[in-house]
Amino acid sequence: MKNITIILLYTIILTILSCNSSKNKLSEINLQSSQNNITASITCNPLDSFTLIFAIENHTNQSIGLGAGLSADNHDIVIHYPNGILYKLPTGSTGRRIKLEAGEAYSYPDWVFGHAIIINPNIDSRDINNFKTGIYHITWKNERLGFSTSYDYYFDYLKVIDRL
Amino acid sequence: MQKTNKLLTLLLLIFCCLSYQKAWSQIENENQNSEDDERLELVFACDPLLTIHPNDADFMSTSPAGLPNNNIGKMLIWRKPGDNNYHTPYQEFTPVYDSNPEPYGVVRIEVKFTSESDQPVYFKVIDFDDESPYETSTDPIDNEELISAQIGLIAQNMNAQIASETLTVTATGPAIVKTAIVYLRMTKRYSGDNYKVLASLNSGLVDTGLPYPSDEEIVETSNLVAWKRAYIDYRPMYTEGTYVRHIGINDAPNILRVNNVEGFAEGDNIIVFNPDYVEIAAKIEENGIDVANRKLTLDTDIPNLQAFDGVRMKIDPPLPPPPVYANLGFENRLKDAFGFFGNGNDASFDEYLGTLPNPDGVPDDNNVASGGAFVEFNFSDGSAIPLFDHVITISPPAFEIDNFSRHWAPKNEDGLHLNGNSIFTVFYGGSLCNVLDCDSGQSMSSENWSTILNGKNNFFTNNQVINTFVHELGHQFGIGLADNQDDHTDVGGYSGMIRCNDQSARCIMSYKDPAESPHHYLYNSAEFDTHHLNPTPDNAVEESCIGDIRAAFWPN
Repeated sequence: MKNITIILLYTIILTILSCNSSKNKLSEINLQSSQNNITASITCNPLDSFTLIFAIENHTNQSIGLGAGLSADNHDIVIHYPNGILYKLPTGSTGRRIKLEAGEAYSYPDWVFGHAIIINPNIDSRDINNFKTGIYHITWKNERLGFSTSYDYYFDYLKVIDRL
Repeated sequence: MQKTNKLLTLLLLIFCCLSYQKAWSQIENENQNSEDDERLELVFACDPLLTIHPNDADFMSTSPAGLPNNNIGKMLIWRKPGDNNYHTPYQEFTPVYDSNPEPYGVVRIEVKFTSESDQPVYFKVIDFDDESPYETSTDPIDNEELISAQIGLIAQNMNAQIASETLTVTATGPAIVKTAIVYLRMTKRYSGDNYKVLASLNSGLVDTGLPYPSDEEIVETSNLVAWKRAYIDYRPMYTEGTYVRHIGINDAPNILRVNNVEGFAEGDNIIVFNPDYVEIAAKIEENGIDVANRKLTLDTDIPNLQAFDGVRMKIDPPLPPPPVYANLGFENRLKDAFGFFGNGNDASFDEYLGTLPNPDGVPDDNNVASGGAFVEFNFSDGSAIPLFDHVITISPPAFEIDNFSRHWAPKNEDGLHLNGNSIFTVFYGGSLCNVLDCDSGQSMSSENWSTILNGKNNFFTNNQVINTFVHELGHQFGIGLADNQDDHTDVGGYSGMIRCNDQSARCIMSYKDPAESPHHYLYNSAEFDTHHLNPTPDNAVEESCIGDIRAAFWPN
């Protein structure tokens, strides 16, 4: 009986130790701590409603690495055209990187967003029906960084084209 | 009595040597695959003249003069279809079927010996110790992919064969020389995994219940190391001209909205060209340059014009050709980083690099002994693309370089990007600057293209450009994707210095502020880190940049 008790105790201790010994990789730790602590916003330039500012704020207690451009980091940016077309901007590239310290914010370069609407390689760029004047809904998500936001962009082809 | 013994010994020796000579000439005649007499060294005894291939003499060197054979043991685990230029005649791949489009690299193992009758030959594959200088573990079991039903010895090179660690094959042959053939099917993912195949006529090699054969009874292949072969389609930018930045709906078909009108004059003859090799000659009309709106008006309509098509001057004689890759000198830098010698120990290659004039003309003291990631590159010169030039103080639109590169990267008939067979398109030239900084490169690993910028007309240093080749190609092998450790090794949560492979400099993927210590592009060498957060000793090779490259899935 005494032996059985010892074996049971030994088994329990081993189980506890094995649970505590499971380690997270650094990337997993980053991911967990960053959930809901990194926020993103899309705003328009107050001096120019056609120009958007995409920004990220780091509210975690550690620095994070970011691509200097929006084509990095597997951002999920989708433009919802009024005629139903969905255009997912091709992200996933690796270019210049920046380090965003805890508490810091980063604004991507100003972007006359109508350019992204016009440059869509999946549509006929000479068909005016693809560029109706109106609201183009933009969604911006990033699963790894843990944020999601959106913006309604007013687009008027004739007013934007000569800005580009 | 003593004299008789000596006489008998002498007679036996003469008989042995005569048998050796006869048998060997027969082996020579039968062996169509190797011509080098160095293999004589592998014959350990007069009887039964057991030899095995591939051995070191079966690999063809491509080393510079004065260096040892760099291709010993180099076995490809990937190459593009149709490329049968191997390092040894004993290289094969598994047959490709629709259901098996990604073949395994295979080594044909041949054993020959002299015998009056057919005999069984016993084969055994072992996980040989990784000889890379950074792999310091003394445990020889260090392959990422262990012997399994897929990886190991097979009797025939057929997909359905189940692999095993040992195999017995009866050697046959019409005359005194008998031959036994087996195949080693290797990993198709992990470059750097290595194997040796042992063979013996003594069954103790494979039967643990019997005494193990003596060294003289065993022959072994070279250290057979899995290497990835990748291909670079080098596409330089023209040094003059521009590209179409977008199409205006209401524009007449002879209007081009270009990125830059500088350098053009009214009346100039130009060529508009696209990725399908269509070239249209035109002339810029009088008053045909609108500087404010960056428009060119031509005397000819341009049908099917698309954003990012190219525009260049039509000059007679033509513009000087853009630089070819051979003039840039980045091949040795790629070998420095990705590997040179088959076994992964590049010490003597690093020493050799130290004797060469380096691109910046200053002494080269950074080529300390190191190892590679077991990837070799083949190069080809592709057609030139338009100049991507952004030296203006206004940032270009987001995604501009991505859209430009994507437009010029090769596509298949469906307009989808060719993505596979480890063929990478590398664009070179131009500039991408904003008010603060200039970029040096950009890569899209899902589409297999990298764009290396030289700041337009080489205002970046040579080392910066050459090391950017290494850096950007590193991204093609999984470094920097979301599931990698720390992306550029030191941009994320870690603030220490990430040492590279040879410990003398930063990892080529690092991003540290140059003010803290020299940036990687200032070095006359390029190496990846071998341990995550190197030099922290507890972190494994698997989590480093070199680990990422070695583990990159193929076809890439």
